[in-house]
Amino acid sequence: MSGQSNGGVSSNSRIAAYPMINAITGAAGLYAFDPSLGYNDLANPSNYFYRMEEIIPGRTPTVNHIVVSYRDLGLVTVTFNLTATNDLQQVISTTTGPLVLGNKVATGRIMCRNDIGLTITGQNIQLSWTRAPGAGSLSIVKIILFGQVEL
Amino acid sequence: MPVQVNKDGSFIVEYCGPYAGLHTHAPETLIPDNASPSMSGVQLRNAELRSMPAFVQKFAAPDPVNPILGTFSFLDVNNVGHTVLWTTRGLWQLSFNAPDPGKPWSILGGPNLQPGIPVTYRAFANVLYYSNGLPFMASWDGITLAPTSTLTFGDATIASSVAGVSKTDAPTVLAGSTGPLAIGGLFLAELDNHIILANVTVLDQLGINAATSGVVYNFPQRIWWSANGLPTQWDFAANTNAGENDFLDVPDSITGIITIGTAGYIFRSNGITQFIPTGNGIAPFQFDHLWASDHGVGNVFPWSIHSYGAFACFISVEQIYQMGVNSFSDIGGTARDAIMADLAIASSTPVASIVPTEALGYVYLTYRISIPLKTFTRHYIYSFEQKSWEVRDTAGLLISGREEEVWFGNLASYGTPGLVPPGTGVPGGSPPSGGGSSGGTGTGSGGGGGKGFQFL
Repeated sequence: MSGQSNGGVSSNSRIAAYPMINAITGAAGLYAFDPSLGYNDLANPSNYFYRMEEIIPGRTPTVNHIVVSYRDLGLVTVTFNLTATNDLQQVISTTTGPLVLGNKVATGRIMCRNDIGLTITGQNIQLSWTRAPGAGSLSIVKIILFGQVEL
Repeated sequence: MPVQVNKDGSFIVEYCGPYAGLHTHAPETLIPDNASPSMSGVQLRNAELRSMPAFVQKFAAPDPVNPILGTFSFLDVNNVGHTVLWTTRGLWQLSFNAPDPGKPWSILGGPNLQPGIPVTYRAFANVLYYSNGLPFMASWDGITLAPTSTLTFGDATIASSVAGVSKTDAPTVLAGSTGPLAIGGLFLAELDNHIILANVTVLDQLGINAATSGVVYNFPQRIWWSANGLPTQWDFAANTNAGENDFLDVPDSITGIITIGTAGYIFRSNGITQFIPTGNGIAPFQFDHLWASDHGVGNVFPWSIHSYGAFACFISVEQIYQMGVNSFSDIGGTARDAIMADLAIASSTPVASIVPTEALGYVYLTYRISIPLKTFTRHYIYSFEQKSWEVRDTAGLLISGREEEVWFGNLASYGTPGLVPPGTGVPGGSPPSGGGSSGGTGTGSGGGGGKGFQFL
């Protein structure tokens, strides 16, 4: 007969644990990406860059607005950016500034913002977005760029 | 979908999932529209582009000075779960189901461990065995107050490891040694009821019982296995079912070992050797080099190799591979160059794991490479279902051991069991039968209709 166990924990709860140390203080701990606490990391930003668009090679397109389809996980502040190049071989950019999506109480529904004006005229247009640390939980389902190109 | 240009010159560009992930192998204008040339802090699961789950500290380390070298959970013979971690001071246990947040760990002790080297561990027959490159292997059964780190032989000599050889047999097993011998290694595995150490270190205790100093022999090309079903019998002069094998015909040292199904694989920097059980008691394994070349596919980051069920992943000089018993494929894809560039400038030991779930009830089968980069850790995460790579950075934190799924009892910050989606209060994602006001549309029958919170 075996002896009584020394301590023990319930095995019905588990998480993928990362042994980490603080790069400055050296303090150590077990960390985890915990979806049960949502997607609003307080220390790390999120950003995503999309493909660079030529539209029609050799022509200069203009993007005049974007439509964002997203899942409402609560209020989130996000900034959408467009960059491009001009005939002077310069990089140009435009931004929405901080934009609030979602509701105070998350509904979990897919929602749409089609009133986002974001205009740029140039070549090799690239969309990106940035969510600052602690700015809320963001979940983008689809983004559509609308624009005009000279024919 | 491709850009749609209408006759009047108006156009639309639509970006939606499923996402192809990081793509650094073509100019930004030539990548697919569902790929990204750069990203950070995102999750691509289930065709949504989501900010990554909050990265939070679940438990402070027990020892503020020494980093955690690994963590693991196992069941003891009483079917009681234990979650442990290692620091250089030894083995610690998570205290009970609702540990004191200020002091969640209790020390179990055991031999001191090497700093900076992730611990290799294995549970066998409800006993945890571990080593980290020093000449000892220790064990803990979840019952005793402290780990076991010595072994007493019939001649009354004592090795300072649970893998050892008596003084009587030492000269036979290791020519020129006095004994007793204590055996440890960098890598630990199990196949066909044999515990196996690879990249072996042996301490000749020079006649002193339980000595922790003496003459150290390093055998970076050796694997050493215990007798079948006898995890403390490593003396092949006493039991011929135990044994060792040196891979002297190849130029480099062992960098990892895994077992997949009924086969094992020994990795070097430039090669892989398969070994399979023979059923022969004197020669229990047959070894076959997949390639014994000076230059070839091997595992160059010792703690990148990890297995899950019937497959495993590892990183070679030029690619990231997934292998099964009958398959071998590269998975670095369009993110390989970015991953390799970061691995080349890692500030300490990169680690990797195959992780089936982010948490209980939240499936995300991924291979995760965590690379410490001086001031932060970059995590490259490969989804086996989507076959895409995403990137998450954790600022101000450096990884110090391999990621592992562990049991943690009941955390105040965690809904148990499973996940309770915010806003629904209902596990599993659907509102109660008959709809309800929370989540989804509430228009369906027997589940609330709509997709509701299928994701959370």
